[in-house]
Amino acid sequence: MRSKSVSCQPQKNVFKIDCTLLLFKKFLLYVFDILRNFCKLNVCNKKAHEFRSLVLKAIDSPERLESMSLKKNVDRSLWLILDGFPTNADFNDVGGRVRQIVDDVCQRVSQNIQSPVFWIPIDNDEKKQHYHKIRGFALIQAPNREYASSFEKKGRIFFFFKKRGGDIKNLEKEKESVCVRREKIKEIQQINRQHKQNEHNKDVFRDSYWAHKALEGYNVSCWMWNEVQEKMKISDTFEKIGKNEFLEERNLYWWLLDKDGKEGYRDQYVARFRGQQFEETIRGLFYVRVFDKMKIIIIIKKEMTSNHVQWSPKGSYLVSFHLQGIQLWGGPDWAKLQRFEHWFVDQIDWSPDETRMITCNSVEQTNKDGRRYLPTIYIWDPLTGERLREFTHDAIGPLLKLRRSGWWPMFKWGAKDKYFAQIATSKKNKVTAKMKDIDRINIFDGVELTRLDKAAHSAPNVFDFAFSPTDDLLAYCSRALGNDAAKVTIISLPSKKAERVQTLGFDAGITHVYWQSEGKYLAVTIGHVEGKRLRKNSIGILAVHQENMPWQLTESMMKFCFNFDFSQIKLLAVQYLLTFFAWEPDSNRFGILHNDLDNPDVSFYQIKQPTNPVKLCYMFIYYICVYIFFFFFKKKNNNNNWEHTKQLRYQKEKQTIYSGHQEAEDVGYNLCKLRFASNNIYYGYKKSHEGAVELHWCPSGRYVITAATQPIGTKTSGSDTGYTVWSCQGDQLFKHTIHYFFQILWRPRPKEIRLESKEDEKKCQEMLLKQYYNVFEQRDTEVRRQHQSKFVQINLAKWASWNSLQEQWKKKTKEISKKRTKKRGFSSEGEEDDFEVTTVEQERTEKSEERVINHAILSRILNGEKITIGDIDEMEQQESSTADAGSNFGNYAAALQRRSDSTYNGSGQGYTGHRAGFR
Amino acid sequence: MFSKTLVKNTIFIVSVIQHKSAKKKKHKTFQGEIFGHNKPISQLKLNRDGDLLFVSSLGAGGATEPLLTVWDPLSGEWLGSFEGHSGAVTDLDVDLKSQYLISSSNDSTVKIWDVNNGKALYTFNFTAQCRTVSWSSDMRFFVTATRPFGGKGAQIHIGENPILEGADKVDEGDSKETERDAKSMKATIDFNENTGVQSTRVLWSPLDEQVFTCCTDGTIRVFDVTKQKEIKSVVFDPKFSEKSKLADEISPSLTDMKYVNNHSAVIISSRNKEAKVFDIEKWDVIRTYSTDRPLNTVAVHPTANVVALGGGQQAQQAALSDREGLYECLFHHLIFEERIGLIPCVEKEVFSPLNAMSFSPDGNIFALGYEQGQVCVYQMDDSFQNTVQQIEKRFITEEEEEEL
Repeated sequence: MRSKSVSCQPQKNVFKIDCTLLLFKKFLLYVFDILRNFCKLNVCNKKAHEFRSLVLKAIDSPERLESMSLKKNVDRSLWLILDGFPTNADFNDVGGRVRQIVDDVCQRVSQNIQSPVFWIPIDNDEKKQHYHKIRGFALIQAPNREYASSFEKKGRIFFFFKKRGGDIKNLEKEKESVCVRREKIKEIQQINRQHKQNEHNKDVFRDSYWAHKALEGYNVSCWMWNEVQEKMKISDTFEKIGKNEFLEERNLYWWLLDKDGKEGYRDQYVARFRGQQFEETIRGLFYVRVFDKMKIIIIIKKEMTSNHVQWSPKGSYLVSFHLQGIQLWGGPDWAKLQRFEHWFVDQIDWSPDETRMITCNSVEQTNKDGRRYLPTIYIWDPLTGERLREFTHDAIGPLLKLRRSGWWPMFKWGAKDKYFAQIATSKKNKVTAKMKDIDRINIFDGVELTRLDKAAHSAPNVFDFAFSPTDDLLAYCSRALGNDAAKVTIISLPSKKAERVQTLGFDAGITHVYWQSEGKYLAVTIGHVEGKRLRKNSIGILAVHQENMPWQLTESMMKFCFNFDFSQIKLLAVQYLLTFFAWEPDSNRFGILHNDLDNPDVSFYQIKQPTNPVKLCYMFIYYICVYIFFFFFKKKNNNNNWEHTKQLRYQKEKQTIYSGHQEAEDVGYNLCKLRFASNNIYYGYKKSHEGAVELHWCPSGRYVITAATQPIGTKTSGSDTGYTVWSCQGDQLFKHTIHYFFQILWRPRPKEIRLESKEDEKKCQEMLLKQYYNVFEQRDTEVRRQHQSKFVQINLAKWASWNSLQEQWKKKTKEISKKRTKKRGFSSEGEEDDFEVTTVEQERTEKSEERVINHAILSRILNGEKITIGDIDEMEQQESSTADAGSNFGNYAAALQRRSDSTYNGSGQGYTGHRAGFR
Repeated sequence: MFSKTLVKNTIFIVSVIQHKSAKKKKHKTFQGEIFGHNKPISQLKLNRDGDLLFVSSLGAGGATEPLLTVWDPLSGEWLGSFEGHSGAVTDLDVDLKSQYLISSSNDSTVKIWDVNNGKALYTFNFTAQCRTVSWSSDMRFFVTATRPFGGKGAQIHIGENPILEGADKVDEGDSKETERDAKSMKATIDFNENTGVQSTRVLWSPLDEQVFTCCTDGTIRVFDVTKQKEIKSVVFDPKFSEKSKLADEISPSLTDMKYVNNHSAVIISSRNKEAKVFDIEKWDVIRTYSTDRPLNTVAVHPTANVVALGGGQQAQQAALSDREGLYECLFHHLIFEERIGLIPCVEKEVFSPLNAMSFSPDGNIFALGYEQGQVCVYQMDDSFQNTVQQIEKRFITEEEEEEL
């Protein structure tokens, strides 16, 4: 049963939230409200009476009692200690009554004869000081009655808290409950030692020291008066929240559901950019665009963060990064769901099923208040917001320091979130550890978050490890170092028993393991090192599901030998020498990128029975600057069903910065499409998006986004930042240019439900074909038609409006044209709207002479006069002066001659003059 | 929505124009390196018969640079050049009979040429640089617009055609160039605002009563010739704000103005990446064509419902970013406003923005002038109009797309 006050309750770590406790807390607030009144108005018995009746009314309301009775199984061994409560002569009356009420209520709640509440009185001297200054009280959960009673005798806890920081404001800042630990006690001891020198502080020190010792390991909550006042605002009436309502609000997968006959918004993406209205400060704008079947819907624009955003692996949450921590968003209204305080957080990782969230601040930074934050890792429960485990700087220091490629995610998760693991060292001084010191794997239980058997699994020279995606197996490979040969080991969990060990040789310097998505095969890529040079690469395959796990090594690929100097490449060598390896999901094929970085080649291999890989093809792929390739594979059985397998992506080391004025590096890439048709690969076509840096596949495989982004925080923007959406066929669907465009991400979807047996799958497919195929087809066609008819109607309207305009214009132009011909004085030049073609043809005489004629003669010819050569001679004599051509105008005479040839001599086609419009 | 069909069409049209013409070798690009233009081309015009192509360029005015030339559009041969301007030639206009050519220049003159022999007949001297020029329909007047100079704002000058005044004199006397002052103009009209606004193009109204100009500040101004006053100013894009100006290339400046559909409407292109069709009388926006590049020029196909738009990034910025500057010539549908095709730049030759375009009156010949000085002439295939009509049908009728 949840009540409304749950959401307002900040202190989840102190007590288990249940109904009884809530009631009790609320009751205590009443007590303090009354107390405050007494401080102001002095003692008044009437008030106390009123108070009592009020409280009893609140508690006696039948709904609450019902709820209490429902919770019979609640842990009743709850002992509470109340400190900071004045119980001197002035308060005797009130104190007594308050105590009565407390006992009364406690008996009702816990049905315990003995009072579970203990009071710690304040001395008379201190009373004077704090007579009017009650600011709060401490509440302690005790394990048993004896422990609680010991407080009554000795301690003054609230007083200690007040004294600890020297100022009560510190308490106000923290607000949360204080979990007292050894370290803190040490800190406080140091503070108190300074105080110890002053004699009058001796008592204080003694008290507080005792309190520390007693409080060690127990939960203490402090209530400040401000907070109490806030609690007072909670209404007394109990409101039930209906179950359905609750579910609807928090339905995180609303975007996958079809609702009211409309299709769900399954293809979503988030784009992070700066709005135009925010000129001064860089702020985030949240933007989701959905499109399905070519329709585009903008759903929301929301300010969220000034940093980057991220989706959770199933797509149920959107994560936004802030200085103070992390915020989760979700649901149809994009509500704030959970908040996790972790200062300067910059990395985040999820378990595959979203049961755990891991955050990390990898760089040491200091707060505005001067507080230092060492790199730490926290594990959270995203549903409740609880912090489950902390990895201190000591534990993760060496890995952070080395930061070899792919250092994050630091933890890898096994199937169904059962286990997770991390590479570690056994060296004592962990901060100064080096690569070669890494010699063990910490394997954790996914539920309890503790190491299996509370010990690390020793794995000397471990280089890479991976969990099987289906079984409880962990594979890790080591590299050859000194006299140790490289090995691949598969261990079963939780027994940590080695199932298979395979040696890789003494020259294997770089090794990686890749699981096939069904867990059938394990591929091991080996870089053979000679001295400091990488000589060749080879790939080994373990068939895990077969007996004894047979091992097969490919013929060493000398062809693809790299000539890099190992010393120059250093750590990058890990990434670049073995360029890329990827399995095709759920199949026995894999593809690799190899050869030179500038001209990478792609090969595809298929595993034939038993384990011998056979090369399918080998071909060259385009390259500009950033290599991004898509591979489309056609499934053999399904027609018209394209699926993407993997995007292979490489990027130059230099990150490009886009700005209006600085020189930007030339970046761009081509989209190449490969098709698999009867084992022959060919290019579809090539398209390019200039300036693009990022490429993202839609999880459905239907769309691709290429984006030209800029780093977060740049203050200028290029004119060409934006993104383009392509269909999987390679057509450009649409393009958006956004200034100050930082980030774009597709929303991932939950994984498909896998049926265990193949018979079930067949049944399922048959069901789909029989029952739902036609329904879906109909819906598709309806949507398509609606969409088309919309545009057609718009176009028809445009067409009609233009035609009506044209008719109006025609009337006007007729009038105008008449006037114009009058004005102009000659009507020979056609003024008709319609086209008129006049063709003048004259037969060629036997004795033809080529003559140069001028325009005047030409016009006369066109007018239909019959002109002989003699006439031309006469006219030329008359106009000899004007026909004098300048030296720079030499060619013109010839051109005119040619012009006349076609007209006068009639060289076949004759001269055609087209007239249109007025001119 | 029509992305799929559009892609197909683009390929189709281009292939028709380029491939076929390339086979026939009818389309030629000729560069000015040998004896033509080396400098930005400012204006291009095909004459009424479609057999002469007049080209003006913004050359620096050196002795070797011909600034005003005539070409044969079909063969690509240089026919002749009109020499006499000492500054960049900004605009030109030819009469219907292809007899007289008028040109405006940055040497603050307007000249009238005899097309037949390439001689300058008249020169009009002004105090400021002349930006544009245009013949009236009855050839009695011409109009030119000057830049603001020496404290004076931009002006519109209307002059009488001296050839019609004394046509006999010219024929009889020696063909010497006669010079005239700005005072001999029939009318000079000041702009209402003296804010350094320049007018980029000038057009006469159909009955020669009004003069339209499009200006660099994004307004279209209408002048009454008889009253000698500015009547109206129309804002091209009222939503354009200075804040959205992120790069220098985006400005409200209007660049080109041409008649649509027999002098009944006007199409205007802008650096603000848009072109619009305006009604002449009420100045309502009838159609808008939005593109992804700043536009320099516009042309309307005389018979088919096709609008050609051209422009591109400024060459400097394109060089900095080292990528394509969007210099293709775009074809939009006149009525549906959607893009239906494009002419790509000639490979390895053209790397500069389009500055001028002209259709021949029958629409078969299409000339493009580029910033670097190239002029490309395309001959439309016979099936061009048919394909446009097919596209129109697709826009109007509902058809289910065949899945590939």
